[in-house]
Amino acid sequence: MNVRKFLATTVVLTVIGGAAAGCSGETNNNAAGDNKDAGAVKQEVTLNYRTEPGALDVSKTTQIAGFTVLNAVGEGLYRMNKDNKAEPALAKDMPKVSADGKTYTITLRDGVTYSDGTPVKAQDFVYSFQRSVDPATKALYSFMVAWVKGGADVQKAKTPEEVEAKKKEMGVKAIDDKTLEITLERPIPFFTEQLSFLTFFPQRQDVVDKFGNKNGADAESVIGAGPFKLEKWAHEQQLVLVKNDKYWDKDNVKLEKVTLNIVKEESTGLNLFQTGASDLQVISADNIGLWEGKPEYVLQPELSSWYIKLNEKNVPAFANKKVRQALGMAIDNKAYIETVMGKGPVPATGFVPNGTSDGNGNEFRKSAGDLMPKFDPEKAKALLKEGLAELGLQSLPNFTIQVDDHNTGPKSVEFIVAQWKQNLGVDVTAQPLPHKLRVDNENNHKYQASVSGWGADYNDPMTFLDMWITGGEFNDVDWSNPEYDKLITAAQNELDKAKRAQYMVDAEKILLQEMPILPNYFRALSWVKSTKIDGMLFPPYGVEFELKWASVK
Amino acid sequence: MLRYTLRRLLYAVITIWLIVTLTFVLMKNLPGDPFENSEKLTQEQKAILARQYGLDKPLSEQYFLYLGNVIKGDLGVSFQYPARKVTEVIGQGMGASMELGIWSILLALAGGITLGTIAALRHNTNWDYTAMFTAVAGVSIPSFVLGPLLSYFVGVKLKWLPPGLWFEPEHRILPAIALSFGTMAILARLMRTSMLDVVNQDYIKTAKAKGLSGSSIVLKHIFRNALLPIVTIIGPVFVGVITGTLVVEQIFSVPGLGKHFVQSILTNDYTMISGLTIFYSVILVFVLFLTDIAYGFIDPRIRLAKGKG
Repeated sequence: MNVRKFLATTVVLTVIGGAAAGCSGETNNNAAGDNKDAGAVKQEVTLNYRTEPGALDVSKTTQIAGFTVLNAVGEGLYRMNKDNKAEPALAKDMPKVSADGKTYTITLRDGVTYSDGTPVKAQDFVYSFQRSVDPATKALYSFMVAWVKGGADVQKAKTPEEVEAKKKEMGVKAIDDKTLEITLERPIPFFTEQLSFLTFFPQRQDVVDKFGNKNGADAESVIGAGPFKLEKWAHEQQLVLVKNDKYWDKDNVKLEKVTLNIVKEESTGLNLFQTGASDLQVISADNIGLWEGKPEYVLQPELSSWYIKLNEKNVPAFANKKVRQALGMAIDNKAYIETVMGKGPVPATGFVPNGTSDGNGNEFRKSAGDLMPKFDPEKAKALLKEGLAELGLQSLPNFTIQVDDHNTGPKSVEFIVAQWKQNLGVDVTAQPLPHKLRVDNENNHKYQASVSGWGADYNDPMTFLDMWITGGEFNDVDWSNPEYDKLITAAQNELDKAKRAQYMVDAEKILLQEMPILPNYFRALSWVKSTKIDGMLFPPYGVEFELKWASVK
Repeated sequence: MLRYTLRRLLYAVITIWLIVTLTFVLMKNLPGDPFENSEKLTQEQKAILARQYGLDKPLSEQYFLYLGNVIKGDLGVSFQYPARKVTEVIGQGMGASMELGIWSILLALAGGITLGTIAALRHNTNWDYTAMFTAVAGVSIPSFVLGPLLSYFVGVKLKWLPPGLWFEPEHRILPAIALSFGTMAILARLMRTSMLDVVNQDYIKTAKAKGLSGSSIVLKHIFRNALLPIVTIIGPVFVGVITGTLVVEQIFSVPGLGKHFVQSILTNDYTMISGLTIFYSVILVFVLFLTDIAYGFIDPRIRLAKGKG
């Protein structure tokens, strides 16, 4: 009897176990140990990758993890080089731009093909752009392609027939197999750089039709014209890239194989890095202190700005400029970074982060200078007093500041609240929330103050500055300044790049004087990279790293 | 027996329906929306997406659509991985989770039974104390502490085993140990108590009086009878282990299902959350159902008692 009972349970377990074993077949491939054997320099690297990319589909990818892989597997008309300048890639040379800055005529390089040998045609770009703005594609990044004339009309079309009709009117045309003509809604000074972003990569209709909803879901459906091919994609585990021998510039691609192991836990990633099982790992907070100054350490500035939002509608006192300035001036941003983040980010010197181009060949931050009021508790106290007097208040009413409840969020808010208490005598309630709820509250204007951040969608100050125009979609601080609105509108319509840049500099000055938001720091990512890897680039936006010119020393 | 089985089956179906419904209700009450980069989506874009995913329909309609799809085995498309169905994601992750679960349960069984047996047979000696100390440590040290310790000391310092990843057989060892330790401790204590109980039974005294050899008594009488409580809890423990791999999977970069749980909740990936919950519930209910049936089959008293109730 006892044995029978034992057997019964064993059978149950065996059935389940057998089913499980049947499911695990595909994942047992080695790669981690491949480059352990030193000696001959193999052009192979193994990198820890912190997340599983979503769909590797030119239209549908929204995460930086996906951008990075697609940028290795695919290519656009241009590619960003080590100086963050666009250089011809699938395009033969730089575009011919019409006098009004709206029409770009681009000729493709001779003999460019996808990794399967099929030629890249101008029509593939037309198809790609049209597919991205088609509402049926559900492309979250379609807003960029909607800069192309008529793109927004396709997005808004209601019926499939209307979508097709609007697509034909869109400002992207294949003059012949090699000539592409793109007409924009309005001039965009940074559009050539933007053409290097994956949303503007070519796509093949035959591939998309063949794989349908599964396009970009597996290695076989990811076909690009870039320096590498996606040879293998074991979901949640590993992606293997190998050199694409059909790439037009294959002579400049040194790496033969790149293995990306999905390692989400930083400490595990570092353990693997230390044992030599990996050549790259992203690091944060405490680990930066341990690696900084060593040859493995790489600091990658991001086009990402972090700041405190003050909602003027929900806290009437925030409508007073002096109150806002006082709150901003009372926070020591240098100490904030050192206390909360260890190292990495740099204190904000304005709202637009370091590294952002001004659209006129210069760096915006250098043109605009340091606009951030200095940390000055005494002056902050005086300003608060004046501001409160203007409002007829004795003290600042208690308000709540929301923050993400993970990563550095809780420590951040603790620091900010302590600074305000210590330097201004103001009591503030901290409210850590899940990221999505924090953002949701902001979108719905249901918060008083919020620790927030914004990363660039493209390398131009406008991605940061047009947020704060009156009634703007993302202006959730409910601040309004007619002068600011005027400058942004002027910049949006200005063809002269120098004038345009100046308008944006002037706009940012107003923003930093008025302080509807209190800038704190510009974020930077820290990595440890094996010293044997040479030529790997860490661009400030768009992708996490660029492998085209990387090699093993 | 048929009536009993059908009744059990009905209970199982009702349980799953309740879970499916509850998951739907809870999901709908989650704050935020499921689209990544939602901070950058305009209201208009959000409306388009909501329409495309059917999130703008009345709740009752959404519920019946969802229920119908679940019955058909369609758990929807993940919001985070738009080219992959939830069932595919689960299928791909299930292998590693199950494998890790099976290794760790085997390890826990072998270790737990051995430790428990030694402790009981060497009752109140240093053997007993050492085994029970190990057991207490096993219960007290959570896997999220043990995992990183193993990864660092065994992986980086001693270089005996890889500190993470999931490719070769040796990649299985550390996560399986980290995951099995707690279960092993519970089983050891259970085995010890159970054996001590049996040792004091009259039939053991009889066996001794009959002059049976020590090893024969231990193997034929004590060990086999003491194993019963272990057999009883092994089903739920098994489910517990394969569903409790979340932290260990994360620490050792095991491509299992655990990470999806955390990630899907953080990103409000509704379809993934409900899909995983339903999947795990179905496994648990299925194992319990089979255990019930097996019991009913083996022991008619259970069947009759439940049948009448």
